Amino acid sequence: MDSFIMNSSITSPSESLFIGDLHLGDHARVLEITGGKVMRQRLGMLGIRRDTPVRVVHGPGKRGAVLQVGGARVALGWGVIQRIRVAIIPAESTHTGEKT
Amino acid sequence: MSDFHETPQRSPVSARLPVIALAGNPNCGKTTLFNLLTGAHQHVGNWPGVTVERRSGTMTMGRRKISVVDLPGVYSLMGGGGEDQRVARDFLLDSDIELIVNIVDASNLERHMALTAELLETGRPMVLVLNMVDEAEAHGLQVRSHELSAALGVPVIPIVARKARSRTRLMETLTQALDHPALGNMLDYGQLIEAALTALGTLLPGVPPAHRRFTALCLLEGNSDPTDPKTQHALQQISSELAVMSDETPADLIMDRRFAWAQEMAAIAMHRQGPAGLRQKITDRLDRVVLNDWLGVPLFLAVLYLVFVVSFSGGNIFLDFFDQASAALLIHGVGHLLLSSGLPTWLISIIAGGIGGGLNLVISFIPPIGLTFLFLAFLDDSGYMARAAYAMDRLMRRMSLPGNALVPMVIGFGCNVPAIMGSRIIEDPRGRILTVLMQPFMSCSARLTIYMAFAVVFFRSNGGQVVFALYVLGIIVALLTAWLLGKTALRGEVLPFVMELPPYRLPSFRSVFLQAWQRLKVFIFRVGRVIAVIGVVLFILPGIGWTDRGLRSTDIDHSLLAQGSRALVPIFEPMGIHQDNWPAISGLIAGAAAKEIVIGTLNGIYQRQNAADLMADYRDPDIAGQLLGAIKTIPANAVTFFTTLDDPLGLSAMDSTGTAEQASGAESATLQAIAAGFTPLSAFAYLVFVLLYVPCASTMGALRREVGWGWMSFSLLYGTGLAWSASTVIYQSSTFAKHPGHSAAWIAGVLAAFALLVVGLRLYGQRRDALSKPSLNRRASA
Repeated sequence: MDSFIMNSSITSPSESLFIGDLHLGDHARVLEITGGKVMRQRLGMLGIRRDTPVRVVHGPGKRGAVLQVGGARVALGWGVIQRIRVAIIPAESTHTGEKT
Repeated sequence: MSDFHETPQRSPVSARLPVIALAGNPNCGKTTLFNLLTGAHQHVGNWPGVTVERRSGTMTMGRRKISVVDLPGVYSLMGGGGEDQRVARDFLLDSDIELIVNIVDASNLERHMALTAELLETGRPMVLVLNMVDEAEAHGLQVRSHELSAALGVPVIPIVARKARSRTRLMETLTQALDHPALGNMLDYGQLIEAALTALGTLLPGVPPAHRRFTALCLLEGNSDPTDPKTQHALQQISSELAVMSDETPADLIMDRRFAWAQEMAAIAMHRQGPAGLRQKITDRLDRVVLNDWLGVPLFLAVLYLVFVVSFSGGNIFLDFFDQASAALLIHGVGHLLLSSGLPTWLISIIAGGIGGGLNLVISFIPPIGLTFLFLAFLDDSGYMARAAYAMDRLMRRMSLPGNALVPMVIGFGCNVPAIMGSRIIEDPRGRILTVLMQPFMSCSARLTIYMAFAVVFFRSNGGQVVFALYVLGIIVALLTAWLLGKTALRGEVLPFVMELPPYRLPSFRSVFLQAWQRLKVFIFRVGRVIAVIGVVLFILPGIGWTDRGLRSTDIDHSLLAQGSRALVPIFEPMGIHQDNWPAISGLIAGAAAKEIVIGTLNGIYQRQNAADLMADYRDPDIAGQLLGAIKTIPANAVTFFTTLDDPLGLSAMDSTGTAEQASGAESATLQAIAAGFTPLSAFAYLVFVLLYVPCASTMGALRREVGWGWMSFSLLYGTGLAWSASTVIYQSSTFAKHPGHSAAWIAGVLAAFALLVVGLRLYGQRRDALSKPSLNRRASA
């Protein structure tokens, strides 16, 4: 219950990374949130859930990262970005209404 | 047109009026809309979680009155978030509401529509308000409200609440929606989930039919537990079957469908017309600086420093005008009128000298305090504060605090009470208690009046720096308190930082002015309320004393006030207060009730002590001349302000300050008496005591409400003990050369007491951990 893995059409889980492994400007798609129900609920409330496309707009660094999620920017601490498994995607496959 | 009241405890609205509840994600503009509908002017900040409790007001359409309830922002009705979100959830699910007004941010529609889906599930009539359409348009999006309305089955209104755009249309739509309620189209979760919801619904006979679907959804998502074994068994069976058939948990299936629906609705409502404009580029560039790993923290400290130095220096331009004009009108003018009407001199001295003088000193500080509030309101609205919280998160985490603890801390610069209430945005109970216990050390506006009175006397040339130093000291003590408690009595892990960063906005003058006025109004009217306390202190206690013949009327030096204060002086002698300065103790006693009355109390006592003929100033005052003189101070002080702009730190004047002689030029008798009673060192020690000891009775009440009697009592004793210890150490270490043995003994005593406190807190923490382990074990075995 605390962990779930989806079947991604973009990349297999073995090729996946955590947000902390991405670089500034990278586009990625969320594959899995490994932090338990409370963490999934907190992130889900801000629109970060599996299959959500995100873009790194600050960091990642020791402080954490800021992600562009749809029309909003969400700041995540270090402890959170190490629990979000993602797969890098090309920039043009982002279609969340982000104003790029 | 409308009225407004806070309703934290009792029933929020009259049963006779229809109720409209404003619901939406944090920072979507609910409170701005509430102000627009009711005419109330609540504090609205551009950061998530500004409203932490529900408030209600009345909207009037023709002869019809409608109750409007503003709720804290909530991301989901299914759970999660802090205490503030629970308040909103409980009200939306359990209260009698005629209409839900769901406010969504049009520039971030997809995210906000997930809550819309849940609100539709409640089966209550709804209107959707698309707020901030101007921002969506700036991002190159065209709003299609009619199409969205058709898809949702409820009225949809595009508005810009900040600019009061479409207000009349909105009010008309709301009244029509009350007359012809639209329940909207609930989303279809697909065959599997719909069948499961129907099956579960039949097992909930105690739940009203209208709520069965929502209750079943909560059960399937695992957000509530069945009350009876039969339903529990059925739920387990349905969940297992769903998991086998779809390879997903029911919660994931529901969330997937809900977010897919939100995406569909956002696509219907928004049509991209062109590329995003300049706004996105500005956000990117600003964030590169504001969130920079190296610049983020220094930038925040620099911003705070500028706010207070510019507020103090800029406020000085008008300070003399407010001081002299209010003295002319409230002291001399009122005194003259009362004298002419033949009232007894003792009553005139109380009204004009005591109450008028007290008001005069408070009014004098309106310019710098008003400027501080203006700057804080500007920061609130700009979108910077949430970023500052992120920038400070690492530092705060080292102090065992979450980064968003910064938000209530900044509110605390205005008043500690809303800051304590604002701590509800912190989800983790441990982090919330720590944040609440920090707030009494944040320098509120009432303390600022005391700092400034002393700064005018002792530190006039570098008052901004001294006041800033006190603010910083308060922040440091607050952070160290959290760190100490986090390592001893309240050990535990800090929840990782997760926070939405609102868009940058150029604050509108109206919004900034209204926010600043709202805070200033609270400051001014609070003084009006506590002026009664001044009256009692100044009228009864200084006029009577304990004599050989019992309680008799005496002069002030032999009064009960003097006797009581003198009895306490030995406690304060180690921090530099001597027997003849007993009024300083009276000020501290009054300050425990409210800091606003400290200066007023000192004013009343010094006036009675010093004036040989209290009525001399009232017999033939030149009020017009005094008012003219007051006006002339404005250009003179403005010239001083602008000519010292190249030296904002006031460094050139540092070596000429700190002497009591400076005060000889002070016009106020009270300020002269302060100058005579203190040295610059003892004045600074006194200010440190004022900063750290009991903030006021209202703050203590808020502490008791939020964290209970135990932690409130701890805060009271800890704050007062810390205030005395810090002031004593400052005074004794600075006068160490004069009496080394004496000073060393005091400092050693303070350190020993502190060590004992740490041991006590550690023991408490160990006991708390030991008690919590069995309960965790019990929960695990259950």
